[in-house]
Amino acid sequence: MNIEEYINKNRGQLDNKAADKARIWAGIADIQARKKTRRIKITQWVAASVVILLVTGMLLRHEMVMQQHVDNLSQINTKLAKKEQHYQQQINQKWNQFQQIPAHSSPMESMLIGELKELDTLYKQGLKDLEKNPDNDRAVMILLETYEKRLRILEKLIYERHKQIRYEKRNENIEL
Amino acid sequence: MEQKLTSEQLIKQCRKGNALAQYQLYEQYADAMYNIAFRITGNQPDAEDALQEAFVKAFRKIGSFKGEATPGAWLKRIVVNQCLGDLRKKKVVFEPINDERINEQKEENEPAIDEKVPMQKVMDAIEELPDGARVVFTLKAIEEYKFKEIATMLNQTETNCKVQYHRSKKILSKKLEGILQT
Repeated sequence: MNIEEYINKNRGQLDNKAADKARIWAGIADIQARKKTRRIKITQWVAASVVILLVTGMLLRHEMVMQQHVDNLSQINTKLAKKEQHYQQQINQKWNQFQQIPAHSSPMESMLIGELKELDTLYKQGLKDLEKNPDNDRAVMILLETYEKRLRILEKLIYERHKQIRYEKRNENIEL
Repeated sequence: MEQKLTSEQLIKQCRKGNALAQYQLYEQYADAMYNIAFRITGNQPDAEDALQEAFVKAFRKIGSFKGEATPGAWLKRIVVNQCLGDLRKKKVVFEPINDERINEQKEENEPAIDEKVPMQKVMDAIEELPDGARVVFTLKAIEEYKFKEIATMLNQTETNCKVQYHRSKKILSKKLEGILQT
C-alpha cells in the first residue's frame, strides 16, 4: 500500500512519545509568573515614583519622627501606610487560603517557604536601612517589592498544593 | 475547581487567567501537541522547548481565540508555528530543485510500504529523514496540511514542497523495504 494509506490505517499509533509533562508545566508556570511580575514591576515603578516623591517631601518635614525606631512603612507616611495595609490584607488572605488546603509537603513547597523567610529578612533589613538613612528611596522600593514577591510566592504555593492533590487523586484512580 | 469542564468553559476560565483551568487545558492537549512537536523538530529537547513556548503563547493569545476552530486545532497551529520558527533559527534548509529532477520523479512509481511493517519502524524511519524532508513529510502526510499551506508556512514554492515530499516518501520506502526479512 502507499505511504499515505499506511499512515491513515495506523493513525492511532502515531502519538507514541511521552513528554516530561510536569517539568514542562513548571517551565510554563515560571515563565508566566516572571512575565506577570515584570508587568507588575513596571506599574509599581510608576506608583513607587509617586510615593517616593511624597515620602521625600514628608521626610524633610518629619525628620524628628524618622529618628525614632521604625517598625513598618506605615510610620513613614499615611500613603505608604495604606499601601502596606492593602498588601498585608492580600498576604493574609492568600496565607489563609494556603493553610486551608490539605498539607502536602514537597521540595518545591519547602523551597518557596524558604524564599518567604528570606523576604522577611530582607524586609527587616530594609527597615533597619531606613532607620539609619531616612532618605533611602531605594530601601522604600525594596520594601514594597518584598510584599509583591510574597504575594507571588503564596500564589505559587497554593497552585503547587492543588496540583499535588490532583496528581494523587489521579494515581488513586489508576491503582483502583 | 475540581470538576471537569467542557472545552468552552475551560477556554473561558483560561481567558480569566485561572491557573487551574490553564493546567487542565495543558493536561488535555500536552501529549498530542508534544508528539506533533517531536515529529517536526526531530528530538526531545527541542520538542519540549517548543511545547513550552507554544503553551505560553497560547495562554497569552487566548483572548483572541474566537472559537473559529476547535481548541485542539488552534493549539496545533501555534505548536507547528513555534516548531517551524525554532527550525528557522537553526537554519534548517529546504533546498530548491531544478526542473529536470521534477520530471524524473514524476515518471517513477508511487513509493509503497508493506502493511505488515510495524508502525514503530515507520516512525523511526521518519525521525531519521533529513530535517527538510521530515518537516514536509510530517506536515503533509501526518498533520494533513495542503501543499499550499505548507509552502506558505515554509516560505517555499509548492513545487519545492511537492518534490521534497516525494523524495521523503522514496527515502522511507527504501529504508523500510526488506525490514520484514530482518
